[in-house]
Amino acid sequence: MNLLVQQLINGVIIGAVYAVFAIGFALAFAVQGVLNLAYGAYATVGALVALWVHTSLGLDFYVALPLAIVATAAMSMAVDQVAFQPFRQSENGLLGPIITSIGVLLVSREVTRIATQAEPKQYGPSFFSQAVYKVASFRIPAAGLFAVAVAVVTVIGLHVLIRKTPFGASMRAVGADAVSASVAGLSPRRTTIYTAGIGGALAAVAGVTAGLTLSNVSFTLGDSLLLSGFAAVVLGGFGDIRGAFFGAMTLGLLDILGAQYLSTAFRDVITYGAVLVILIIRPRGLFGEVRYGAER
Amino acid sequence: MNWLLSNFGSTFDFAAAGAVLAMGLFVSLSTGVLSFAPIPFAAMGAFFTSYLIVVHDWNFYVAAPVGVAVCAVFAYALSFVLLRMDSHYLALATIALILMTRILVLHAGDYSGGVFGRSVPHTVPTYVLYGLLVVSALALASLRKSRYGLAAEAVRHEPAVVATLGINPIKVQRTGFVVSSILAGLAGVLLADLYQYINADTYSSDLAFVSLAAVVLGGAYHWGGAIVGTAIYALIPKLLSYAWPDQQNILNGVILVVIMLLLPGGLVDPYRRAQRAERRAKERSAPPDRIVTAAAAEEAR
Repeated sequence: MNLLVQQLINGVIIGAVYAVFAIGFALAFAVQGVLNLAYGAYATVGALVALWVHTSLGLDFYVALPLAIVATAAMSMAVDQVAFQPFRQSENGLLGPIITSIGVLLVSREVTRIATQAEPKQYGPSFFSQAVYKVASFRIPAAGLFAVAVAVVTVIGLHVLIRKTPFGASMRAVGADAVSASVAGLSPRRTTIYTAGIGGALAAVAGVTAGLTLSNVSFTLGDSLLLSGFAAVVLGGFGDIRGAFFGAMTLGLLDILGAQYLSTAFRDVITYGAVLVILIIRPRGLFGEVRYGAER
Repeated sequence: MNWLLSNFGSTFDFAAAGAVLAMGLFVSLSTGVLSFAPIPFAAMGAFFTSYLIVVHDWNFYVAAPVGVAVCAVFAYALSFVLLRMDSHYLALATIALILMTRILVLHAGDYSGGVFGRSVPHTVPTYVLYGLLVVSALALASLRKSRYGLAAEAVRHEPAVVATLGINPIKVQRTGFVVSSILAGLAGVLLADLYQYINADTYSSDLAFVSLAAVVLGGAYHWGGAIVGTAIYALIPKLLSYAWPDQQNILNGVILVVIMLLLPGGLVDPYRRAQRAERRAKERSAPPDRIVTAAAAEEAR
């Protein structure tokens, strides 16, 4: 029983890391209209920028994280304008940006591989507290608490942003139909750029929290995040922040519980097998499709 | 000529096998299904065939058809489950298949060689390799002109209209899915033969991404695109690697982005050709002649 509760806690922590990433990925898909396979690379870049700021410039976590967020947001906006924007006028809507995002992924992964000399690294105790809190007999690492807090703040913050603010309304409008949005006096291009920035910021946060909770930062960090994030979004359904959050939590719990009670070796088979089964039963995701962003 | 062959011979060989795989991706794409399933089917074909050859001493020309047939049967069964899903869900589901295949291969012990992988004897002569490429291309060319080809193109653009015409879009897509798995299984066998060694990471999601990139780069609306795209995507990095030997992956990525931005429809684009033919026809005979344009469009198909 104790073991089960402890593993549930671990699952929620992993789920929280996936959630921030999945929300950013879903947002990119809904508003930018791009199935962005380079999104995992953003997380890698964010995690590595934070590490670099800390080890080379000697700045602490509270400076490194915002700098990583700014750098990754800038990267995301630049990639959006260079690699995705040209396809928005053309008919090759979905496939073209997938290919350019693969190109960005290849470049980014190689650059980060060279920058890290392909070695896995760690943030270390000087970057973030390594403390492990004990509640009853359960162990909760500080990094895990941070990850969960960040995920909750992200979900609530973005939900309010999208549903209650004028900018959120323009995001939904552009996601639904860019042409109608511009007829209504909005600037789809500006909205898209800002959304790309938010997406990049979320990727950076996810990358840093993943690096903290897994105690491992390497150039492949984003690859596994991308697959988990994609799976979470598919489970939760595209187009709703809360769906992505619950999808990510489900995935985190599946991941940990499958490894604990079934088989460590077949961990990914169990996780993705479960995702497949869910997709077979519900071909449009667990929560169906609540669209505010239609396919373009 | 000799210089060309000695420097690029093996590049061309890999490109030929890669082109068969890319055609596999193209076939399901041509029915409007973005599926990465060809990669796990390539793995299935390769591991099954190599198991028969290495462990049971089968002849390659008996083992390979059996391996490919196994892929086709599996694809047929899987299609009932997979083709119910919408585009992005199907894409993710097939990426999940790639990951699951990798782990199954790792733990299948003697059947796959497990973590150590498997050495495969190099038995396919070059002319057979290119012969199979040509046969695959001819098969796709005749499919394109067939009833199935017309239905596939219609399903890709307007599945709802196709359904009202009394054609079942899922059936068309199922045919495409099975054909795609046959080409993929064959490509997997050929790649294994060229590498002479396969393991769990040979048929990875990276291979899936690069193959899809080659298809779209070459042109996702014509089978020739898969061949041209793979050739270009194999040759340009090879040529550039003489100038910048260490940055191959960076160059691959940059080339991909640049070509896609310059030619969003890909290198082989029947629609662009049709438009160009139409424009030329207009210039030749003003006022524009409707019959000529239709004929020109038909010719470009």
